[in-house]
Amino acid sequence: MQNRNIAGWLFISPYMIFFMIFLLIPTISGVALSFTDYTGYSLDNLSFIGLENYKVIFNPSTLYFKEFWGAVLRTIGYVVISVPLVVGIPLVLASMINELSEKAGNIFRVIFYIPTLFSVAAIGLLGVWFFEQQYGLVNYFLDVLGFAKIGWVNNEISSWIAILLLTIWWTIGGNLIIFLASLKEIPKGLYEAAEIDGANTLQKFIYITIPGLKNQILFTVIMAIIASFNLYGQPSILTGGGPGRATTTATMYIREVGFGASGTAGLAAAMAIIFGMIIMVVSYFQFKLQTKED
Amino acid sequence: MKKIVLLLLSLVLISCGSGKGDAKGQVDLNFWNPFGGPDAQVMNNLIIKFNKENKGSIRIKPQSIDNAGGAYYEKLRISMQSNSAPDVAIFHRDKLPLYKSMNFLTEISKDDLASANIKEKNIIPNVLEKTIFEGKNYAIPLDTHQLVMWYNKDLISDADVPRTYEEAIQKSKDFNKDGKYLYAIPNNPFILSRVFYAGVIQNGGQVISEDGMEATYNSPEGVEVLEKMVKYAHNKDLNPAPGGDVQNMFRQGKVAVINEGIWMATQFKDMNVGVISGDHFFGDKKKAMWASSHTFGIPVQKNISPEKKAAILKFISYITKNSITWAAAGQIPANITVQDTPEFKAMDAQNKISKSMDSFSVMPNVPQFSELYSAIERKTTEAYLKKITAKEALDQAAEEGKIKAEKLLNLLNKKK
Repeated sequence: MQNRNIAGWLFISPYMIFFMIFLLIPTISGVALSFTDYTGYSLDNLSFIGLENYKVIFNPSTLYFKEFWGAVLRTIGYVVISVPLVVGIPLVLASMINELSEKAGNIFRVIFYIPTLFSVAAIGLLGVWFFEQQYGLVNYFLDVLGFAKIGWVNNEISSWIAILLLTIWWTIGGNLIIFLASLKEIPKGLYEAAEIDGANTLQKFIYITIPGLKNQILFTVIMAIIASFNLYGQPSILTGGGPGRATTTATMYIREVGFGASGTAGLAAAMAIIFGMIIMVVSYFQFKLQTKED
Repeated sequence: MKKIVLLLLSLVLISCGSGKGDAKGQVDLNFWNPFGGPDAQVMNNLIIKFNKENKGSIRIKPQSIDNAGGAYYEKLRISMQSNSAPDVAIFHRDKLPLYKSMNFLTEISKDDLASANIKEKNIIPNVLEKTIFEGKNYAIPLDTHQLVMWYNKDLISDADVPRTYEEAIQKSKDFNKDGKYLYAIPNNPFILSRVFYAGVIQNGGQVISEDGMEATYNSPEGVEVLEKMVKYAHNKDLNPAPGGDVQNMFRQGKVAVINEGIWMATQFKDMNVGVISGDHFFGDKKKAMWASSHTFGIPVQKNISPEKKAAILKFISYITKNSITWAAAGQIPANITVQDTPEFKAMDAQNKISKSMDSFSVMPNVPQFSELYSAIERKTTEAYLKKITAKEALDQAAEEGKIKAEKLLNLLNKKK
């Protein structure tokens, strides 16, 4: 019996060790450090300062208030715009691919899934060359089609469009696969019955496909919300948060505060806690909202 | 069960044991640098030569760490904090004041310099002076690099390159046509903010106060320079649409004169280009070019043996004296004797700029300067894009800088 216990622990230990080192301990120490004046340099002279860091974040007269909440608002704006797109586009694509023969469907499935395999660093670097002003791929096609070249990362709106396009292209495959797999589960009879009743394609999509994929949509929306809130890699490589602060997201700003020379890592920890809570609250209400009919 | 545990333990132990089979009497030195691309290649070639010449006594182990997003300095700081720093490392001059005040740097005394035959009088004075803190030397400059004005010789002759802002406006009237522009305000935040830095000084202002405690780039002299830049950038007759990539337009022959680093020498080598210093573009109160420098520093070690220190100094001395190949990578050797070689004189751009040595303006020597100046790239960009006025941008940058500088000084005091 005892031997079996040890074996069990051994089997689970690789995961537990990584879970503790990379998640549990950092989370706990992050919470603890948010109540201190931790500098990020060393733990010497560390003192407990209570809610001081949190007061700074909620005091409108501080520099950090404006910068942090500005970054949070920008991030929320991105979440609101990006989530419907990164879930909606794969959903529509999936129902289109579902209509194709299995062979053709597989080809599209592979084409859309390939970008998902790349790491965010690779995607970011590709993005730099997609949206480069003079020699970039996107501007090349704009030029061929007779449009003016755009300095994508030189202004606020086009920077966000570039980040959004890149993210959609990158993440389309994951959600597409989820939707495609579940579309097979929706009984064909429902569509046939609707056709007999004279429903068009749009009506079938709204009244059969979407309700049929309710759980999958709930899952992908929540995952997309969390991923969008944590947006970091794409703007960090593509725009560096600029121009000015235009594409600096909350996570990027928190990193800047935490690693700057002036030693404000404790404050950054407090910001991270507050930001994490915002994500939890939003995800919770999203979950409630989408499941309340049950 | 025990066997498995033993097996795991022994695996752990095996992986911990490192191969320390170095030749007897040989000093191994870890050398970190932030160089990449052609720079790293030139440096590594120098190191290979050095290692060959010192076979059996010194071996340099270089490690290049990309500084994207400041990663090199983060890693260096962590290594110094945790007593695992490299034996010798490259520091950009602007990082020295902070690391010095955190006691991360080893003093390089007069005796040290003498023993390695490094002569202070051979180093460009206003570059050397910024490696000295409270009368003590903490780094040895390898090179200096500044922002200059590059011009395209296919479009314009040296005499027609505008030397001042007013001249640029004047000469643009004749030059600007068919989508070609004489001069464009830099769109790159790094360049923009440093051209502004030199502009403030040229216009008779100061970037920070005498005591180093406050930003003064938002003085009337500073505001005037940034206003001029914004006004120029947004004048359709003078400047291409603001936000466009000025460096690319220069490469394509659409803009004749731009502000860029002297280090672009290698990148522009396929073009027919020349340089001027541009050191009185925004005013003639004082000549100034923004300048920085790569320096060799010795991170503080728990205990550093005299042999090791001698080996480090020998290496630094070797590289600085043989920095002619390094100069070819678009740098001006800090060692004046290297500048006297015929090879250097053949490097047109570097040689020409080295003549304006007195204009080199290395950023101030206090640790809080990087904080006082931290928001300026962002804020000058916002002004350049007309999100806010020049005055607002500079005031906001100064205010943000002051808050961060105070935090840093508190931190440093606490450490003492």
